Amino acid sequence: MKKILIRIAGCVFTAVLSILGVLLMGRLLNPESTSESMNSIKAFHSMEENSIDVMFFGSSHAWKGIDTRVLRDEYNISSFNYGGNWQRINTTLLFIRDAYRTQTPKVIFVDTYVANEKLQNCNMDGQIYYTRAISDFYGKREFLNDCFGNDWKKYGTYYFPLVMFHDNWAVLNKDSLIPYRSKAGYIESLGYDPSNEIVSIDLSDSGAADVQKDFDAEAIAELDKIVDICNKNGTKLIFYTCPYVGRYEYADAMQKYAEENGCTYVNLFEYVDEIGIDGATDFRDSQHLNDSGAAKVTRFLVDNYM
Amino acid sequence: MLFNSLNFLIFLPIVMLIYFLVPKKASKYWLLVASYYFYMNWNAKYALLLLASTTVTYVGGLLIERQSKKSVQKLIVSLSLVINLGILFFFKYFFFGAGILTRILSMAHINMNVPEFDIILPVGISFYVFQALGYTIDVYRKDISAEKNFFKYALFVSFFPQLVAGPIERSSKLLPQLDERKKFSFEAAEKGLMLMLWGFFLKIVLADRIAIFVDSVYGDTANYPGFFIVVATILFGIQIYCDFYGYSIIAVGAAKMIGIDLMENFNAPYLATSVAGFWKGWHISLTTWFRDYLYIPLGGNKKGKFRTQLNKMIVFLVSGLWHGASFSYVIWGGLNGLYQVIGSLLRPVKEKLCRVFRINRELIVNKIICGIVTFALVDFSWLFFRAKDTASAFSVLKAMVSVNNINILYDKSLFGCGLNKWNFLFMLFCIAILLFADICKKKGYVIHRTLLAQKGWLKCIIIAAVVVFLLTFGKYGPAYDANSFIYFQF
Repeated sequence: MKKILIRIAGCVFTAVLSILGVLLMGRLLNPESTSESMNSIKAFHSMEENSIDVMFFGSSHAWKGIDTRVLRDEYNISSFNYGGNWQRINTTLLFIRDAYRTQTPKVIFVDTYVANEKLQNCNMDGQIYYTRAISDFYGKREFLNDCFGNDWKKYGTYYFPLVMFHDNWAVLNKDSLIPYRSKAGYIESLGYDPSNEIVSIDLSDSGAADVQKDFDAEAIAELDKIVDICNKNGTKLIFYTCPYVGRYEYADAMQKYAEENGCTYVNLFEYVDEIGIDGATDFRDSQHLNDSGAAKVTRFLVDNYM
Repeated sequence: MLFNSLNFLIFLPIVMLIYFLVPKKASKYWLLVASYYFYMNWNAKYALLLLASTTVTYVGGLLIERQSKKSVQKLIVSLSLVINLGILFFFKYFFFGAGILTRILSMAHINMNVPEFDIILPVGISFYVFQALGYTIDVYRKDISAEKNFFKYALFVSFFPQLVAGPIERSSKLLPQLDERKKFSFEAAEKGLMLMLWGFFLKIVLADRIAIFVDSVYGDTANYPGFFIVVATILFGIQIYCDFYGYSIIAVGAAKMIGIDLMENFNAPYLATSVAGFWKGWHISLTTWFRDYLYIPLGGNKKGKFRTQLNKMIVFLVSGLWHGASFSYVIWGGLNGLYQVIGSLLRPVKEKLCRVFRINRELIVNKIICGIVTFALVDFSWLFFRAKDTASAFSVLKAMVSVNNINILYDKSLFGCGLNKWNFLFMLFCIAILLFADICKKKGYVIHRTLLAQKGWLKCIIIAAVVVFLLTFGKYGPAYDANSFIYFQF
């Protein structure tokens, strides 16, 4: 009997060691950019409860395009940039719901670059995996259900990321082990992903697309949920589109939606000159503002819409 | 259900658990249910074919045993052969045969319309049909007595670890093991697990990694001519070995975990110093099947030199055809037969040359040279096996010899064929591991036995490390299109 118990203990030990190894390797091999996004989320979770008045959400256009340090240093307003790479509209909804678990912001800004895109029925990847930094609650369950449906194997890849990211071993380098920006870095920048790199771009052909599109019913349903949360919490909701090199196809749909739902929409393409955005100095790449551009946009939004 | 799928990794422990928990008498029925479930996971309807083949050979076996007249026995065994081979022919060779017939008739200006309908080749049909036929012939030869219990016999034909790609087991070896469930043994489970881990290494770390390179080159020979094809063909020889050996060893390991021993299907074939030696270590269960049920009945080597060589050619041509309904497989089989015929004919010359030049054939250098020549010959024949048809095979061959780009072997071009530098180098490292393991095996040194002899805690760490290694370096997961085993198509 003793021998059998020792054998069973050996099996359990092997299983535990294997699971630990799998989790460790998964942590090591998940994409570097995912780790950074996760650090930003962790930074938000370390903020004192009910300490933030203004919050920003949306894709990398928001994350890299709104410098929350400006609100702190120039306006003495507490704020946090809870944007992140790849925030589709249902990811934004998840982040907003998560934000309300600990904060009661008075004003929320949502970047609309990918407002018509919803993650659903997809395989796990970096776009989904970074939400691991958000603990389990109803909003996250709904988000994961959108992404994975009832496919338990996809859930498996979410909780055991090695399954998804194991091929990354071939691109592993010393920088993979240390994310470019740590949690402390994002606490200092209040969630904003700073960069003073300058890439000269030409904005002359950018703006609202000539042919405008309507939102999908699914996107509208997500937007409705965002509006509903803000209304219930008495939060002022402002949608905006940050300038980039390209044509935005949902400016009219967004304007119409904002009017119908009693909130504000600002298409910043229309205010490029007023804001003072200079293609030669204010972008870090063709899609994202740098520190200089982000500061200008942040000041414009605070001065005019708060 | 693929061995390299999560479904199987859940399926196997459940089957094992229930197998050892149910009363002894019920255990084989449970295995039968599990085996049919395993098969029906692929295509439920085709389980009827499996059942049909099982029923025909089961009834055939009983009838043969009850008959005392040799002629009637012969008639029954022939009927069983016709029905089973008929099923195999219809599902595997119908369009191939009809195509040949149409061409022949068109030469005589006779038009024949082949009816159009979709046939999916039932997974493993060549394997289970051969296993069932082997049983019928064994009963006919009185090597074994006919199995009375239908369910036990059905389990013999459908036993899930070896159902879809072998090893093709002999009734005399497998049937008695299905009688009584053995007591659960940690030692057997550990050994089975080790074998399975080795099989997974061969399949998901090596074969599926090599497949990326080979598929890239063979899929675009216009951009990857000359030495790209040479390297891809060499690697394909290793890929198919790892793929099939991997499957076989997982099958052996899975069976071992439930206390059933299956035959080893491979014995370091690429270390052979002759093509005949290669075939002694490659797909042993099929090679010995052909030896016992085709080569020997044809007369083997007992009917003179010419018939011996002819019999060899027949066996290899049939073996080629067994693999697939295409002339490229026949050429592959024919080449391997031809190598052996030529090898036999040249043996006296070779021996004389060795005597004249005083070449010691036991010298390691001599063995290495013979091994390389053997590998080159066998590997060349794989080119026909890999190409999707004969025309493609010759066009690949043309692309291979038309360009001299030996520089690609050292100018890093090989890192651009689906595998980046690190993946390519890692693949070479894994091939070195395989070579080392095969040398050990050939020398009679069993690596997993050494690992299992370690202290308990060390063994746990080794197994856990191997699991993490496989999950890190294997090719699997949602981002990857999971490859089936190559031999599933046969």
